[in-house]
Amino acid sequence: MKDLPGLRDEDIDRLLSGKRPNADGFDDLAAFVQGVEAAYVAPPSPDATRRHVMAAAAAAREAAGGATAPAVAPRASAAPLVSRWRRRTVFGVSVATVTMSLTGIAITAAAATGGLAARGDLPAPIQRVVAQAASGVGITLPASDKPSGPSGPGTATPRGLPATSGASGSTHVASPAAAPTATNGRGRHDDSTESPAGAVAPTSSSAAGGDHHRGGGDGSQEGGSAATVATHGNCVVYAETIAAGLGFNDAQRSRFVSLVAQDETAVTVRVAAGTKPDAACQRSIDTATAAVSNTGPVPGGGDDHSGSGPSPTPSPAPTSSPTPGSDSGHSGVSGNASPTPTPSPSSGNHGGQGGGN
Amino acid sequence: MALGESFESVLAAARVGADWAWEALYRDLAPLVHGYLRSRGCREPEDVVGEVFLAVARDLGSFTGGERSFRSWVLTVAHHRMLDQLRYQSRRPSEPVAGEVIAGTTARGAVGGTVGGNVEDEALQSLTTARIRTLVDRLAGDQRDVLLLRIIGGLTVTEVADALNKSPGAVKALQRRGLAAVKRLMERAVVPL
Repeated sequence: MKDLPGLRDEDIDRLLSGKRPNADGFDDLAAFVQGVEAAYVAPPSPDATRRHVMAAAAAAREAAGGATAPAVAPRASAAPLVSRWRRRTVFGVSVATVTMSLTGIAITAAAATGGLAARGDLPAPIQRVVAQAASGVGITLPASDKPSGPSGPGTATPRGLPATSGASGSTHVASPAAAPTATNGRGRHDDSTESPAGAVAPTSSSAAGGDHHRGGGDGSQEGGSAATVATHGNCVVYAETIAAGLGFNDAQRSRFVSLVAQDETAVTVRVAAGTKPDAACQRSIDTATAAVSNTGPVPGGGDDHSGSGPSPTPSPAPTSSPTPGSDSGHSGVSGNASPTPTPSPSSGNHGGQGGGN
Repeated sequence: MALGESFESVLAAARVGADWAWEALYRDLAPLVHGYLRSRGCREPEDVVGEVFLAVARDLGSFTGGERSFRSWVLTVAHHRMLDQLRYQSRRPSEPVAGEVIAGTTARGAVGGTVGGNVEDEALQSLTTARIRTLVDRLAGDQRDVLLLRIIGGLTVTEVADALNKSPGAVKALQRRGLAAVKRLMERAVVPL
């Protein structure tokens, strides 16, 4: 301890804290310490103080993130800051909540309305408006003036898209445009290549026609009015069900179902297992069975379900031909049973009628 | 002027940006920070004070401890800012202002409340302040840091050691040598008070 030998560490602590040390001879150092504090310690200017406080408080708020300001605010200037902060937080939560709520409501309403519109279950004026609006964007919906029941609406299908195959995979016999191809032995699961002209339904009517089986299928599976109301879709579904047990190959099976599908008079209530369809449906099935059996096996049939090339065999059910029902003497029934004015038996009104949902 | 028992509540409010809390902290510590920066020759001490409190505000979330720890932490931040500022100044030298001019200005600001309107006392005080500054300026850098942090900042040996990243033993040695140097200068009447 060469420096200040008479001063202990404790004395230095006292000296540097502004107190007089216990040892003598260090008054000059005590004066120095007091002078240092007086010489340097001074607050910044009021203007700088104001700026620095505001900047520090703002930085702390930013660093605090979502924390809320303290409720205790001794200074009046703090109150507006607290209120503003809380308003911002509450407003942010409200916007998020309202947005999510509105989105949920919109989605629910759209889904419900869309489903009802597709099924034609909306009130007539609304259904008409919705159908017109949907047609503008390429979606075909049943018009309001079509009565439900046996000739109820089919499922909406966007224009230009292939008709979606139902669970029964019957799309290939649905569309009049696709029907010839179906009889040519196309694979029944190959929806996208059914027609040489493309499976894409070029018109809304054909698109709707492409859906009529699906509509029937839906009707048979969903229950509801289809279980008690005789629909064409129910008959087609029944035809598909029994087709496998008739000894037909795939091409024949497709043609068989296609013939039934084109017979508008073939209506029935939903056929439960072990029961028989209504007479109109049964007649159509008998006619179709006979027609397919008389024609014999179709060469080039797509037994492998792979959707092989088109068969050279001409289609027995061209789009311009009358329905098998009319050929087999059921035309009267067909004409009377269909309340929808149909310019062509194959104009795709099956779609509108086959829904039966 | 320490905050005492209210420090915890003030700090809690400061963490979330209450203006009143920051004003309380600033009035308590800014004079010390400002004085330390001035004593170490910062060219724009007020600006650096602002930077110090800005840094403290941003990092306040990571601070834990009592009032003494907070004071030590703020002065540590100030020390580092001061070093940055001195490095900046060394790269951009400027024309120095005469010490007496600064001493006269700061003396009135620092002890204005005690000087009163007595011109003779004010002149004497200015002269004393100038001599104090001369003594401080003649100290070695480390000795000056230790003595100023202890005198102006009121930090303990341990706190100074933490702030300067030195051992407590080194701080004790530096403060002893610094005081001895001041005593020698005064005894030789180089810088009489």
